[in-house]
Amino acid sequence: MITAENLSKKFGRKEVLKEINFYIEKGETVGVVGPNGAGKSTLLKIIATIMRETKGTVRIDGMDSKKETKKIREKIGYVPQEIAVYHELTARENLRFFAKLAKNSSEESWMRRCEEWKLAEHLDKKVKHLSGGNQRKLNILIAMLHDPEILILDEPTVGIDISAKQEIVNDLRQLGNEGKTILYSSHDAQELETLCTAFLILKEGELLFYGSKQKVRQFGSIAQSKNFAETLGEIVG
Amino acid sequence: MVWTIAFTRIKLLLQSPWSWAGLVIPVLLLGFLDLSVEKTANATKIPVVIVDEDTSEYSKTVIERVSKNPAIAVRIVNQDKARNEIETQKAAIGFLIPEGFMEHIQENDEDELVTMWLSTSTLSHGLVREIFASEVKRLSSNSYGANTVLKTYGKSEKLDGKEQAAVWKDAWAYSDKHWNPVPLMTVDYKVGATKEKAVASEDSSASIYVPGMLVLLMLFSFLWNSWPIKDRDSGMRSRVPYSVGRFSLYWGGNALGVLILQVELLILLIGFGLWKDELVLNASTIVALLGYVLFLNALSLLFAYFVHSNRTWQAVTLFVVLATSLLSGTFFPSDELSSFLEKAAQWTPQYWIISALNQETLMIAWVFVGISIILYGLSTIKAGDSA
Repeated sequence: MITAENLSKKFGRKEVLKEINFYIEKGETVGVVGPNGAGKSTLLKIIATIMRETKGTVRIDGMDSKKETKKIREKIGYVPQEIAVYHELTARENLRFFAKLAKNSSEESWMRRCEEWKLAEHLDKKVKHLSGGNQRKLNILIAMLHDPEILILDEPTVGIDISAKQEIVNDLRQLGNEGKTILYSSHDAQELETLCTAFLILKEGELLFYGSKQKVRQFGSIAQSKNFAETLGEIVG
Repeated sequence: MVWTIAFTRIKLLLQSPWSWAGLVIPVLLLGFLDLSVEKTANATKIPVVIVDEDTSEYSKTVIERVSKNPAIAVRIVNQDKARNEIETQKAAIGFLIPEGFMEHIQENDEDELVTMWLSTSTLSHGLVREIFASEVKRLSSNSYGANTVLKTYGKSEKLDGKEQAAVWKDAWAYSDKHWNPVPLMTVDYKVGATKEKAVASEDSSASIYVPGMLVLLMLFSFLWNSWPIKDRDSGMRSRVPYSVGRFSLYWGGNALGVLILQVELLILLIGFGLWKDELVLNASTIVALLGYVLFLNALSLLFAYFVHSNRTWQAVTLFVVLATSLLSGTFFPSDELSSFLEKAAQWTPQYWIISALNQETLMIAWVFVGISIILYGLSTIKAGDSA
């Protein structure tokens, strides 16, 4: 579904991504892991066609992201790290606004999703008056208004409490079960272990590891790591 | 899609009651400034009291015409009050129009038509007397002319009573028409302190209306166009273009929203100007002001691209509005500045909009539109690259 071939990105002289290659299967939930500055956000933005690669190619369902950007964007829902909504408007007004921009989104479908995600009762509150967890849910729901096949989330649970995190992870798991392909960047190992079926580990712009959760566990037993977080730490070195 | 973005922007800008007040405050502010200037202007006029005992069409005409003179401030009072104000020097000069004033004029009896009272400290009675006397003389001459016409031709043409009245009225109006103030010379003075223009005007008193309107339009254009900074901080500057597919739609839609508010503010300010009789509205004035508003929108949008924080934006707004307004000669003539500053004034939008308003030319308005298109293009490309 998603193919990266020799993907590189430079900001001036600094090489943020170095010759990265991977293939992500449809329906997979991939955790994008790495220390700060590893190139996670850059990689996600390039896949989402927000940023242009310096070298290499990204293909989504065989379509070149440079040539068929519009079609690719119809397949992708991108959730930025910031809560990118109008905080002075209500949650409903925000959803309506983005639904109008998305064109092919019916109020019925996003209302159903809001009810599933327990956001329906807060829709008439201004975003600035919503809890951090609900703001994050809204941030994700907006990216899903056009019912994309691929969901790319850049640290979507940063700065919220554990129970809200748990709710969001469960909701995302549900999406994974529905067959959505999810790329998920986070620093929370527990969250990643619960949600992800595969992992893409970056360090200083290089791809250190790409494989299934099973492979990560195998690595852990060889390295005699006590838990999943420690295993990820071992891989990153 | 553009309209969705535009109306959402308007909604965002008008979220709080304070932002609604932002639409009315400029007009109130202008009204307040106008009132202050009017009061100051009145303070420099010669105070005159008039007692109208005739209350006829003629006496009212004289009072109305004298009141229009910018050099004097007229108040209608009764005789006791008039005498009191003259004695206490609250009024410099008083006039009594006695009963029978109109009849005397119509009969060409000009003896002691009006009584004048002078305050002891009055230095300007000569000027006021002339102003008043010329208005009385005007009516008297009209009546004399009309009577003469009727006397000369009325009998020979065998006119009946009704026809005689009509001829008298026509002759009176014909004579009166020649008193309309067509000056013997034109006076060169600065309008809006920009281009020199020969203007024959009865009222040259200062008005804050046009400069005030131009400043307020610029100020609010900058205040409302702070959205690119807020949107960048919140991530909306990436997200909305991502949803609509094209950055120009997002940028243009928001600019349109602000432009709609600016035009609404312009309409309110024009309405105020018409109400206060400060503005003569014609097609070229409307086009020039719309061009100016469009230019301000494009200019503030480009500036907002370069600025990275709200605090800096407030400082930029204040600096641009104050500097261009002072430099442009909106409030005082730019040729009173050094030659360098005088040249610099020609780079301010206020200088050009005042030129456009004075010259009643469409050319400057089209230049505004042309530059706006270039500025929109620049800001869209620059901001689009960095989004």
